[in-house]
Amino acid sequence: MTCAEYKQLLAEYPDLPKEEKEALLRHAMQCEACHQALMERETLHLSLGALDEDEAVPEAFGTGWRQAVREDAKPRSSPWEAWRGRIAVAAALVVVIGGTALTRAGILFPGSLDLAQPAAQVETYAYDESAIPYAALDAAPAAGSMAKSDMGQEAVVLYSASLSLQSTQFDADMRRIEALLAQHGGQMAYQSTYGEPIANNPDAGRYAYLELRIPTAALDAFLEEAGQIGETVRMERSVEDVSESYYDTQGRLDMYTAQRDRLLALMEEASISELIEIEERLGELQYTLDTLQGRINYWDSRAADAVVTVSLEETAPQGTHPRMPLGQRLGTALRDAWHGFGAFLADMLVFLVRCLPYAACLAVAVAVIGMVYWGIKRKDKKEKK
Amino acid sequence: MHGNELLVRRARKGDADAFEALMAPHERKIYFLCLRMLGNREDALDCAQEAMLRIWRSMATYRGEAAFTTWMYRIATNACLDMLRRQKARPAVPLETFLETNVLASDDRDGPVEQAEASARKQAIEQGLARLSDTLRAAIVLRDVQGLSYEEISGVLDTPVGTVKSRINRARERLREILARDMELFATERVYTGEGRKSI
Repeated sequence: MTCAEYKQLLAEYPDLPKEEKEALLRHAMQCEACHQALMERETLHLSLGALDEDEAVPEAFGTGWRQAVREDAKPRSSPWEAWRGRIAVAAALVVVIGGTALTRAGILFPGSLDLAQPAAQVETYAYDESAIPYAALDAAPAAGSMAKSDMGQEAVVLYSASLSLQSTQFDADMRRIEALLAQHGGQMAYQSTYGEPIANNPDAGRYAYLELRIPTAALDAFLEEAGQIGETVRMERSVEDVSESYYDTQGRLDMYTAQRDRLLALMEEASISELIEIEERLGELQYTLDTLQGRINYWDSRAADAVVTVSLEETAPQGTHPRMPLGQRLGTALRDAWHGFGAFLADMLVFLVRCLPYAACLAVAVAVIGMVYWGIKRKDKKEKK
Repeated sequence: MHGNELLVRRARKGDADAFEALMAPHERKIYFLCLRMLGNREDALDCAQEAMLRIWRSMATYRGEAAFTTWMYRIATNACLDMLRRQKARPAVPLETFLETNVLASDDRDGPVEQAEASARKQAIEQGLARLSDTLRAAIVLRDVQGLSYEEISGVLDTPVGTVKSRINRARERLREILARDMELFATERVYTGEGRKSI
């Protein structure tokens, strides 16, 4: 081995294989300079190996890292970590309860729930297609309310109305109704009042049923003013066009009247036997004429005046609840609260079901965003490593 | 190493006691790795604690692909390299500091001259190590000071074995050049270790 080869091998000392190490040593024994170099290498190597042998690890290191690890192992007590779960639950409750309230108010998902109906209903309907607005009719009450029908004859229309009222001032409101009736030229056809005044018995209350005949031309005005008495619970109007029946009946009446007149004329020249027969026939005709005339008279009368039924119910004033016993009031309150809570829960379920499609879309979007985010984070971690 | 595997498994689940038992035999190595890499005790203390904390926090990511010690050394070495990058200057260790604290526990048969020589040798090596580049220093410290094999160092530095060998050789050569003026300290026929003398 030459010194140059020796120096090359020496660079890898002390990691040389055994044979090469021995070759190195053999050369070193023959060459002083190479021997010196080997000694330096060996000493350096051994010194490096012994560098830490007699060193002591500072006590601060031992206690320091142990303490740091234990601190890090403790559950995180940051305010955010502690409250994160509660805030999430509170936010979910706000969304569900708020959404349910908005749905019940009809702001969100309108029509989803069976909302309460308004207290007063005003219905106007006609029995046939030729309903005639009464305001267009002739205002001659004696002749009835007539208008031209499609066939050129005046229409015969019957008007009816029904009014349900609640009142906290029963007596005063009854007098108002009577005053209105007189003011508009109407008449009381029927009146019935029963029950005990609420002032005497909080659980009772009076009830009045009135059947009024109001001139047809004044019907609208009467209903408008009567609707301001107490609280209107219900109002209905109906219109019935009986023109066809009326004129058919009128025609038959005319026909039978003519028949009667011919028979009366025949009686002047009839024999005794013919007189008897004519008398019999006249009797039958008269009966028919009376019936038909009666019908005509009824329609005339009904067409002239509208029939209005008014019901007046006595109620306790607001804020002055009946003096129920405490137990009964608590029971009623509990029952009402339970029913209300049950209704709210049912509405909440409807709201949640309506939200399902939106929640599903949101969940998919969050999942996709989450996957992208964690993918990027993992990639960054790998690149850092 | 069944007991070690159990400790690793528990430590991965966040058991601090298991981690302490697992790392207790290695804390010395971690500390001295940091000391030799950073060159001063203050930085070594900070770096070593940082390294331990990093190892603790990374336990959940240890999958067992590499040996635990290799994985542990990798984290500690990276902690040292990170700290070196953050530092602007690597202060040289004052002679007085080493004379006061780095006294070799020499044999009773050694006289004061031999003890002084050993101390001077050590100081020279430490100063020489400090003058190496970070990568060469890491290679030579892991091999010649910590005693890791080439394969282990390859895993720690995430570098091929051939590159590791090359770095170690270059580091030794460079260290020898740095210590050339002090080579008379390494020319003695007697080498002092903590336990006794060893002849060449």
